[in-house]
Amino acid sequence: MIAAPSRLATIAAYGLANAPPLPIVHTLPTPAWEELLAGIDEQRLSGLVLDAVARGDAILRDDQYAAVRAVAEHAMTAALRLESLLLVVQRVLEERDLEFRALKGPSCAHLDYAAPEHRSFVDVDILVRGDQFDAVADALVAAGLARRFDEPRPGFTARFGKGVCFTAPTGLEVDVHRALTAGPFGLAGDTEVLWQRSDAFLLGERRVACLAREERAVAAAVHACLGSAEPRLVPLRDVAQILHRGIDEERLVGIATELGVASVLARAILLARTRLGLTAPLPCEAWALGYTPSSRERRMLRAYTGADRTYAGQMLTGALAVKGTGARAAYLRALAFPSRNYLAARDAGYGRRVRRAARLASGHHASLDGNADVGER
Amino acid sequence: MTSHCAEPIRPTDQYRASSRLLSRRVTGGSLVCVPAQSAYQDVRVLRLDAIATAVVAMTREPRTIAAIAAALTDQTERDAHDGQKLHAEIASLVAGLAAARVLEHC
Repeated sequence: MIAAPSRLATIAAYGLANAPPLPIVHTLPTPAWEELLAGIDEQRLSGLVLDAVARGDAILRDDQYAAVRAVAEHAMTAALRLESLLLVVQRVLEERDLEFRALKGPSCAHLDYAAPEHRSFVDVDILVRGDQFDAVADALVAAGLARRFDEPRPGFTARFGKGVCFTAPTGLEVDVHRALTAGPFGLAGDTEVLWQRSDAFLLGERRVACLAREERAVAAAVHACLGSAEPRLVPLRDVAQILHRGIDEERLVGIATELGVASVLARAILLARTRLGLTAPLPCEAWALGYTPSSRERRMLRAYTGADRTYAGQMLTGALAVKGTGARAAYLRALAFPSRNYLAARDAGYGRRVRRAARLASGHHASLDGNADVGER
Repeated sequence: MTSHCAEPIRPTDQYRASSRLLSRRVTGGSLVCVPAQSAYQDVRVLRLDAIATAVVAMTREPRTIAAIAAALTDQTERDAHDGQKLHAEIASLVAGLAAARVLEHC
């Protein structure tokens, strides 16, 4: 039996075809309302709530409405500051002829949702080519952004990593991705498929390049499915939202297959349907239902979805997906014997690191502080 | 919002909304900002009420203050006396928006 969607999930589904009815909120006692409001804020759903009220599909008390409105305005203020930073990043990279594609928040907000106010975000994410990754990092540092984490070895991220987070002096963050995720699913396929075409959205007078629609759907699926052990609602909404905009199913599956994330796409579609409580199938759902992940894919998925999920565990499982003996040896060597700066930030020494790796490899998942270079939000 | 500009506004002066403006609709108005020039600069996000939002929307093409006031008078069906008062208010609003670089003098 499928559990009924939570109040937050039904809000996250608002406006989609076949969405469940919204919860009755105005009669909620204060503690329940405050808990719901905290969830609306944390899951970034305030824009959808205001849209539901404006359309007469939800009723809020005046105090509830004022609270949601304050949350939404705070979120939109952040979105404008972040879009401004995205334009700065665009100019910095254009000056050096470096290519990028905007990912997630701003592109989904402007191209996939009915209005950009419905989709908020808390950082800027861009995808860059692996062979340009270090040049992009240099350009951003020269422009005043600080790299948050060292890489295990020079050139590691450009070849094997997911990406790196950069912080602007204003405190805003830019996640620079080489791949859509860390670990095995970031290494399983060829990211070149994401660069074959693009869409663009307008910010002020500037056109900002982003992933094309099917590529955005795959990226949203990866974010929804692998971004956290418990899938967040907005990435799931993104998946459903993009699928409902009309997609070429064959192209969608082809891109996911080439990236090595077909099992992730299938899982994300099914999760979006069930978690959001949609009452009719999503486009491509028949394919997702018929998809049987291999034992290798199941093992890779567990690195992201298990209760003992750690960044270190994902990186170790990543060795499964690195192609070529030489490349695999280089990958494992960089993780086992990283640079002294990297080590100093994480482990007391090589001995402790090796013991931690051994515990991970043997399945005894100790509490690890593995910092993902690019956060998932 | 008060203009920092000491120059008096002439009736023939035209204004248009900055083409670089970033914006979001919010209840009863909009949030707008002019993008930063560098990573070191943060933006100032302004909350515009419904009238200021309407002024920004109608200045996608250059307009004089008189034209803006006339359009708003028509929209709000005000009489002649109210129209004069509105003209003065719009002049002040436009000056403020220009000072904040939301509108550009052209």
